[in-house]
Amino acid sequence: MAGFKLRRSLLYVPGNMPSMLQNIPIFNCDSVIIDLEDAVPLSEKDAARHLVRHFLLNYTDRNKELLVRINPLDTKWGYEDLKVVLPAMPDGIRLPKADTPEIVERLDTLLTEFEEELEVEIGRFGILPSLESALGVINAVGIANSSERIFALAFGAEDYTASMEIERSRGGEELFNARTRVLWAAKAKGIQAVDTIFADVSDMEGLRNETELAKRLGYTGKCLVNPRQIEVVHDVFAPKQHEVEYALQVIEAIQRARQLGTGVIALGGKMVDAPVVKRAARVLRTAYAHGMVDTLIDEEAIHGAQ
Amino acid sequence: MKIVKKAQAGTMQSSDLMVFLEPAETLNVTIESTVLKQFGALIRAKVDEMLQKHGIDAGEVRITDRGALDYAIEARLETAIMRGTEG
Amino acid sequence: MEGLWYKECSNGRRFIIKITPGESLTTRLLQFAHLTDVRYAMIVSALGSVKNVRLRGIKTGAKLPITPPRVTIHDIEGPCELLGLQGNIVPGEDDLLDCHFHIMMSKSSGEVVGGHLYEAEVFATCEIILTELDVSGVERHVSKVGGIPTIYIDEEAP
Repeated sequence: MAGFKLRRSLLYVPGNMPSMLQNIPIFNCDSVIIDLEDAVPLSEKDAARHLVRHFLLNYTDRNKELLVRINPLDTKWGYEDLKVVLPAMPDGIRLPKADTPEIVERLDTLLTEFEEELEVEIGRFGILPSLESALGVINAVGIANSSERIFALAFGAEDYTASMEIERSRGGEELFNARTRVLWAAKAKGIQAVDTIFADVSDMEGLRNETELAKRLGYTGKCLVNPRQIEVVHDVFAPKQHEVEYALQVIEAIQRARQLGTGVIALGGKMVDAPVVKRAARVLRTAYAHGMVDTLIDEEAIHGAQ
Repeated sequence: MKIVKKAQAGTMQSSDLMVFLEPAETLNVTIESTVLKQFGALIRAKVDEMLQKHGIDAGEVRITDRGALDYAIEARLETAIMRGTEG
Repeated sequence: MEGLWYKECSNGRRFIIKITPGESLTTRLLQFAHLTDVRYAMIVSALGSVKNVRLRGIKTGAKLPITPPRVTIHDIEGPCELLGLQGNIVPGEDDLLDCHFHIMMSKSSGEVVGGHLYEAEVFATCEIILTELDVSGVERHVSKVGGIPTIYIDEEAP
């Protein structure tokens, strides 16, 4: 996998609030989403984009991924957001209301035009489409394939539940199908899936449960609304020590098996073969990114020599 | 450019500032700040720089600062000027 | 007249063309034109089956000029039924013949795909009816505005 990049926590920061913007360097999340959309009242859309522009122009030695959530492209603010903010070189754009592949394609061609104007490498700006409606979830597969700029798919439950006219519950059963479909589309395309926010900042246990569910389904990142949520999310996504040890044993066992000329072997009474090895490799890659192991596992250890 | 109508930008939050602009014959800049003693001169220099950059040489400019950094001063002035010279 | 250019042409010779398996559609058609000294032609009909087809679509919201990042290239291994080939052969840069074709083809599911044709290979067979056009003062050059080769019509040319 090209440059395994950890994106466990994506923290929303309101675009019109200097006190929050200038704390971005000290938050220890992996990624920040500076919001020009719902966090900014209609009367302040112009002020927010200029504030964000000047902030980004001044924030030069960056220590995390910087995304900007613009207003939807079919509003009068979306294009202006891009025009003002892109020259300040964010890493990517989170696109709200990504309901169809065509909407994402339109952002793709707009970003190309700006890159040509700014004379930077075509494809430099990434796209994080937010699937947050019944239509968006239905079109997940088409959307995932609509642009090579897309590095992950984000599921947005707040707007999704609004579009479905249902309420969010603590258990999240009402989101199960939508979460899974967004996940399949992302995995089928080989990109990351990012889970929705957990709005109740005082309910850390609820946040942990929801993050664990998302992880169990296959999500590898989650959006956050408050810096206090970062630690819980990182803790959930970090491999547990026993998982790392087991993964190391799996690699060792499969290498022994290959010396015996077989591709399958028993480990502690359980079968170990290629899919088990692949899962172990993923754990070790994530562990490496967390600094829990000091060597990155290589392809040959995973697949064996030809 | 000329300030053609009353305009304002910014918020009263900490680390932010409010900018008030009004049309006037001469240029008059007044600054209130929670950190006036330490940073008054720096704020004034940044305000003058931005006004000059946007070719504003007349108007009533009132700043109430709550410890804003340079980027916020530049942004809020730019937005106020845009709003005040529009149309 | 700005926005619309035209030139009357009359029918020249008509040809039935067969291209054999594995051959490139575009290369062989241009070669045919050279052999028979056809300078202007249009495809009347084309059917058969094709594979290793490269075609393109233009992305939503793309603006002129059409450049690589604004198009999506599709490489379709096929084989597919060739449903149709629209297009023409017109002299291009420094009088070399140039062709412009759009292709339509169907997958086994009946799903139809198509677009601006770059390249295609004949699978089982390819039967083309082509009509030569008698006309002059029509040439294809790369348009700076459009970013792609387009037809230029000199209405005064005899």
